[in-house]
Amino acid sequence: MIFFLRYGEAEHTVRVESRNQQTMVKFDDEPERPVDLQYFGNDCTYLEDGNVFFANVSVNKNEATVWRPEGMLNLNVESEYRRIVGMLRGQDMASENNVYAKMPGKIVKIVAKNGDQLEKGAPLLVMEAMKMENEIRATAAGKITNICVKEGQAVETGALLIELELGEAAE
Amino acid sequence: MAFTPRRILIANRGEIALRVIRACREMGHIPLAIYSTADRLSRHVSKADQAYCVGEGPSVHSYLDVQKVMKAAKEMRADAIHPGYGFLSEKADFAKAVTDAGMAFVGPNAESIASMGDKVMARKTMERVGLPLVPGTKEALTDENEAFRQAKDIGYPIMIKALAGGGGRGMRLVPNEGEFLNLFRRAHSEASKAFGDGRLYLERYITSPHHIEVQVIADKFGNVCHLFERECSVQRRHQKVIEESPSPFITEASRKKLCDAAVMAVKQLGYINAGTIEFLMDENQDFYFMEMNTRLQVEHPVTEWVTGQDLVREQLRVAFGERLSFSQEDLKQRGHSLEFRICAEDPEKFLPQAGRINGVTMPHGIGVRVDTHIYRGYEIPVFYDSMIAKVSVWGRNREEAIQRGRAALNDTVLNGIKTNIPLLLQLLDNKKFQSGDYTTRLIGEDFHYKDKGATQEELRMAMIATAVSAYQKEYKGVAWGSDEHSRWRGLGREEALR
Repeated sequence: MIFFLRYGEAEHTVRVESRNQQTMVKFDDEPERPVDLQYFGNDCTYLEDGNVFFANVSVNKNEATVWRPEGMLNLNVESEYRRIVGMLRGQDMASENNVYAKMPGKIVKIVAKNGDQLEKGAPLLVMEAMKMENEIRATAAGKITNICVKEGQAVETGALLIELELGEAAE
Repeated sequence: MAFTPRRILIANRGEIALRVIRACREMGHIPLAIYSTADRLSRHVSKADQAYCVGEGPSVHSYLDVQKVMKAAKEMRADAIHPGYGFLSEKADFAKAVTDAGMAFVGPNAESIASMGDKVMARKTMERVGLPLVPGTKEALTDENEAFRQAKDIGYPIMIKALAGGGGRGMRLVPNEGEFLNLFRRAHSEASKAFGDGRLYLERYITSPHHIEVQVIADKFGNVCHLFERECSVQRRHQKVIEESPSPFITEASRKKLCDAAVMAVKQLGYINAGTIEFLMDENQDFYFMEMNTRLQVEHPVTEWVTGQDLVREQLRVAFGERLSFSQEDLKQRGHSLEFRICAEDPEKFLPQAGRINGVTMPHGIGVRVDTHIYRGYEIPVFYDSMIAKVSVWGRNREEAIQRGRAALNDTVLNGIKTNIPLLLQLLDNKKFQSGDYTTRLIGEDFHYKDKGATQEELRMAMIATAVSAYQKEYKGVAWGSDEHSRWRGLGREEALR
């Protein structure tokens, strides 16, 4: 089975197959090779040429998180089947400009106004979550086309807060 | 005197509830838990002998509701209540309700809590018993224009603090006059929401201070001991990140002066049980009283490491009218200890993260201690603090403690949520931190967290591991050799279910 893996901009192809109880892996254009990779729960011990790679891997639908001490790597994983089904349905994997709630909380204050042309990092709204007030800032420069929440409103994870049209701020 | 097992209600949650339960178990007491509906699956519930639901997730409806907690205590026939830290631990009304109900409050009496809980009153009291103060307002402020006038007299930069404050909430640093009103309003709003009390006070801001605190404990027989100092200058947004004992900054002479001053103050206050006096110290090692916390501190493990004493055990002894099990002469600082607060937060923006923890492995080994309530599959509730674990280490000296801390943090697996572990690891490698001569300005001035990203090799390994995991998931539960199996058909069924 072929998987497409994305980290940031870069996409790689990994083919995984089971043959004679051996897991065979082909990474991008490298030659296919058997891998010694064992899972116990989410804990993965991968031995390659005697070198140990230990990680904790959690895969949920398209999203995978790989833990290592330096931080978590967020990968996007898609099987060839899903990609084809997605393409047939016209779904696009293009990146999202809109601002979503990263966690549940309450909108304390809305700083930006509809139609505002904003620089990257400009404050949009203040959200209270886990007893702290946090300023949510624009992740990219652009123009606000819609503010989807009101002050005092409680929001769930993934709620659309602000719609943004990408574009450079006026000089 | 024969030992009497007592029924001890722990009016808290998370790691601190477990910490107190452990002390109860060791001593032979009976631990009783309370929990909110959001905490039904929390570890402290399963570790207690009895547990009682006190309400809904938001703490105002459960852990902060004095009546509900008291009802739970009566139903479970508690002999005593340990408040932990946060929640009701520094609410004088609660301490009074506990003693009025004929139970022992594991902490100081209501008067002591009240006198230190009101930060303006605390300043006056401490000034009277001879502790030096940072210049600031003598009265509580609500009117912004009056505050603005007083700020002018004190001089900028100024720190706005909440009277009922703690944990950095309702606190704002004002660099100059122009920003005062805006920040005053923000602090007022945050304090009103967090503590139900929007009153504020002002203090001159010491630009590059050390945050050094002294642990004290006293029994009703007049024995007062200090358990030396803790340096807590590694902070972000006024919240502690790493604590250590001893302080690598102060001289032996300053240490003695500081600790003696704390003991003298506690003696004059007639304070009983454990407490912490927080000081700001400037580069000349002159110190100023900041506040007194009338409870057990989050960072008490570093003190326990270097003194070898169990603070919760002593708290319980004192609460039941017994003597401290040690005297000042018994106490020595041995070696060096560091504590790391592991928080579920984005290390770059310090944004708290809620979510499910998919993988957990905690560090082990000589000189490593872990205080935590989390486990694999644990869902972090949004209602409470983002601290999910404390990893503390001990070494024969500071260098060894740093090495041990680095190894322990590297061994700490927490998957599914972002944590500040990468930031803690980078802090340990910071030259200024390693030198020991750092102030509360370390994070933000001498230290900046940088996401190092992944090397090509790491990424390749991670991707192969992920692909194999995804592959195994795709085929899980599929009967091999069955001709029926078609990925297309399976996917079709899955899609139809959406």
